Amino acid sequence: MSKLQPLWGINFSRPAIESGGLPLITAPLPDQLVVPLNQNIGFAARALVTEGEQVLKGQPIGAITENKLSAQVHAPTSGTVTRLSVQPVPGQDPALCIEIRADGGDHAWPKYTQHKDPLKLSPTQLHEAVSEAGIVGLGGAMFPTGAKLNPKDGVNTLILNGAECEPRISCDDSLMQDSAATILLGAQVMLRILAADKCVIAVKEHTPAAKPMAHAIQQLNDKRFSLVFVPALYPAGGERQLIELLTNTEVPTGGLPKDIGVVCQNVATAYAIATFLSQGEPLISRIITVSGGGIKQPANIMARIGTPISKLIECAGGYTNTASRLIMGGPMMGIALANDKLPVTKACNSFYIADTTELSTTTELPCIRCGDCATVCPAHLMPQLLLQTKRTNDYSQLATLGLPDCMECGCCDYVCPSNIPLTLEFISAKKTLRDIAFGKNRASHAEQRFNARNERLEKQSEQRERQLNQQIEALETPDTSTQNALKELLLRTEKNKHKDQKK
Amino acid sequence: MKFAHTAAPHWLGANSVAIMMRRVLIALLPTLALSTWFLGVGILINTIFACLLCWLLEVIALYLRQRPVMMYANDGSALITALLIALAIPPLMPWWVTACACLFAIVFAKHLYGGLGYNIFNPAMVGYVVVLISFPEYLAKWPTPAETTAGFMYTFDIFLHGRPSHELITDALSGATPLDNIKMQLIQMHTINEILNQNSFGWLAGRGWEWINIAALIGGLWLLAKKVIRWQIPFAMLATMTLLYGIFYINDSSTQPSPLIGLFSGGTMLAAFFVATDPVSAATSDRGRLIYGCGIGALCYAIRTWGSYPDGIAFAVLLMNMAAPLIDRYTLPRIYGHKNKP
Ligand code: SF4
Ligand code: SF4
Repeated sequence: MSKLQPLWGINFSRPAIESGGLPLITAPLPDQLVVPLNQNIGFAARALVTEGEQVLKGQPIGAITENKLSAQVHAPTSGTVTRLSVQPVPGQDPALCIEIRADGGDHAWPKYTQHKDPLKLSPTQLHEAVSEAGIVGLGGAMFPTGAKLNPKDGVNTLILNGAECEPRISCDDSLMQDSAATILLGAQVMLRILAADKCVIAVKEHTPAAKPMAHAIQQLNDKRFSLVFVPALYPAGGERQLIELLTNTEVPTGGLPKDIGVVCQNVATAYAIATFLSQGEPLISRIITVSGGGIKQPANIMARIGTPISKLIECAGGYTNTASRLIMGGPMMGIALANDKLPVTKACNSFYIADTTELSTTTELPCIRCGDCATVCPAHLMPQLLLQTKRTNDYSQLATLGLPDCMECGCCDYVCPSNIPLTLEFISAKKTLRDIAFGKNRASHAEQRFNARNERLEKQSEQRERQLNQQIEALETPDTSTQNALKELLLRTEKNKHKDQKK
Repeated sequence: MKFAHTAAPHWLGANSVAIMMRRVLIALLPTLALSTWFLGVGILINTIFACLLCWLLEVIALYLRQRPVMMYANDGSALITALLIALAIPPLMPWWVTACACLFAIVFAKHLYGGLGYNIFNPAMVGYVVVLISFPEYLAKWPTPAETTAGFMYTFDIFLHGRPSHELITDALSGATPLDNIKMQLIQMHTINEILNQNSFGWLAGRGWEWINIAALIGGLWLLAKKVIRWQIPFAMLATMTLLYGIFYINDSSTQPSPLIGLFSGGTMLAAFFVATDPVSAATSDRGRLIYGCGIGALCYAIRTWGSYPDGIAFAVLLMNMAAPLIDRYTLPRIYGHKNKP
C-alpha cells in the first residue's frame, strides 16, 4: 500500500454522512419501465420485441448491431411491451425506448445457465457471456465491456476502480461493502479473459469499504490481487488519473490505457459479470447514489434499469423545500436534468439533488492570472492561457496548448476567484476544434478528388501529346511511300501552276 | 418536478477576487503600522489620501469605460495600489506628487490597458516610477529622525504646500535612506563597518527599516499560508538577492553590504511578497514564476549596486513585467500523456 500524493486536484471536505455511510436499500419494482436502446457509447441496440409482446425478466429485447460497437439490452422485469417510441434519455440523445408494463411476477427468462464455477469456462466462452449479458462500463461511460476485454491487446494489469471519481458518490462503496467476494469473482473472470497477471483494486482512503474488500482479498488468497488506497482527491478516480497514480505512467494522448498494457474497469462492472455467470441475471439493475442537500434521506438504491427517477426520489424520502437542481452524476461533472420523469439507465451512478445553498450565483470578473486553475488541473494544462487563446479565436494555438487533453473535470472552474466558466468555454472550444478538424477532413477529401482529376487530365494530355509526337515523327522519318506521294503531289501542283501561267 | 438546466461544474469554490484582495490589504496592515511608527505620521496621511483618490479615480474610470462600477470598485484592487504607493514614497510628500502617482497608476497603467486583469505593468510601480523620475527632489528626501517625530502639523504643512512652515534643526545625515547612505559613503571611501556603526543603523540593517521589512515578511508569510500567493516568486527573488549579496560580500566584505542588510533594507520584503507577486503582471506557470522572481532579484541587486537609484526594485519589477508573457510561453508544463512540452 503506497502513499500517493498528486500535485493536482481538489480536496473536498467530507460531510458528516460521507458517502460510504449511506444505507443500501432496494427500490420497489415500478409498474411501468422505460428501457432506452442506446445504453452504450456506440450504436443503439436493435429492438427485438413488438408492442403487445410478453417479455420475461432478463429476456433480450435489444440486439447488438452486428460488427459495430454496441451492447445488448434486456427486459428488467416480466410484463407486457406497451409501446416503442423515441423518448428523451438522461445524459444522451433521445432514442428508441421500449416501455414495459410490469406484471409484478418478476418471472425470469429460463434460458441462462447458472455456473457453479464460472472460472472453469474457457476465456472465449467467458468473453461471449460478457457480451451476452449486455454489460457496459458502469462508472458512467457505458463503454461495452466485451470490446474492452480483448485478449489480443496484450494487457497485463487490470485496474479495478472502486475509487469514485466525483465527491458525494458512493454506489461503488456500498457495493464493495455488500458484495466484495462477488466483485473479486468478476475480476477473476476478467483476468482470465485478458490473460492478465495482475489486478489492482483501487479504493479511496478512509473508505468504509476498505475493510470488507481487504478481507475478501485475503479469503480469496490469490497472489494476483492487491489493494491500493488513493487520496480522497477529485478527480483521482478518473481513469487516466487513476492509472497515473497507480502505475506511474501516463496514457499517451489520443491513446487508450491498453496502449500501456492496462485496462481499467469499474467494480460494479465486475459485479455484473459475476452475477450473470453465477446467477444467470444479465445487467438489468444497478446501485445509484441519491444524495445532496435537496433530498430528505440520502441513500444508495439498488434499482432496475428503466425505473423512473421520480421513484428513486420517493425511495430517498422525497425532495426538501430547497431542492433546486437535479444532477445526473456528481456535482462536478454531472448533467443537470430538466425533470425527474426520465428513466434510470446503465450510466446512472448517482443523482445529486443540490439545494439553493450549494449553488452560488456569482458574476464573472476578468482573469487575474492568479494561476490557481493551472495548479489544480489534472491534465497539467494552463487554463488561463487556453481561455486567453480561445478569446482570440486562435484555434491552431489552442490545439498546441493541449485543449484536446482537457478532461472537462471542472477543477479550474471551482478554484477560479474570478468565477470564469472555464469548463464551459473549453467544452465549446473543443467542439469547434473538432468541427474544424472535420471540416479539414472534408476539405482534404475534396482536395484529393481535385488532385485525382488533375492527374487524370494530365495523363490524358500526356497521351495526346505522345500521339501527336508520334505523328510528327512519322512525318519526319523518311518513309518512302509517303515521300513519293508527297513528291507526286508537289509535281502535280507544279504542273498546275505552269498551266495557269500559260493561260 | 422541473429543474433549471445549467452547465457543470455545479459547485463553485468560495474563493473570490474580493476575498484575495481583502487578505492582501489585511497583510499590509502591520507594514503600514510600523512604517508610520518609524517614519512618521506622513505615511498615514499619504495612505488615506492615496486610498481616497485611487478609489475615486477607479470609479470615474469605470464609469467612463461603461463598466459595472459597483461590481469592480469594491474588489479592493485600487486600495492595494494606493497602499503600495503610499508605502513606496517618502512620508514627507506634497499632495500633488502622490496624486500624480495615483493618476498614472490607476488611469494610465490600469484602465487604459483594459482594467483589472489586463494591465501589463504593476500599476503601483508605474505610478511610483513616474513620480520618481518627475519629482526626484521629493522622492529622494527621507525624513531625518527629527522630522519623523515633528508631529502632525509639520507633516501636514508639507503635504499641503510642499515645504514646512518652520524649519527644524536637522542633523548631518538628512534625507536619505540607509541604502542611500551606504552608497554615498562608499563613494566617500568609508568602509561598511564604519557606516554600520553610525546611528542610522540598527541591529540588522537600517534603523526602523529592519522592522518594517520584518512586518512585510510576516504579512507575506500569512498570505502564503492563506494561499493568496505562491511561494515561487518571493523565494526565487529573495534567494537570488541573498546569493548575489553573499558572493560579493564574501569577495570583499569591507565595501559590500551583507545579504542581511540587503534583504532587510528598503522595500525588499514589501516587493517580494506584495509587488512581485501581483498575479496580473507576473508570470503564471510554476517554473515561470521562479524565473520571474530570479529576474527581479538580480535586476534589483544590479540597480542598487551599479545603478544611479538607491533602490531599484520598482524598475526591476517593471522590466520583468515586460518579460512575463514570454517567460510564460517558454515554461509551459508538460501536458498529461504528452512526451514533450508544448
Ligand atoms: S483561476 Fe481564474 S483568475 Fe486565476 S488564472 Fe485561472 S482563469 Fe484566471
Ligand atoms: S476542466 Fe480541463 S482545463 Fe479545467 S482543470 Fe479540468 S482538465 Fe484542466
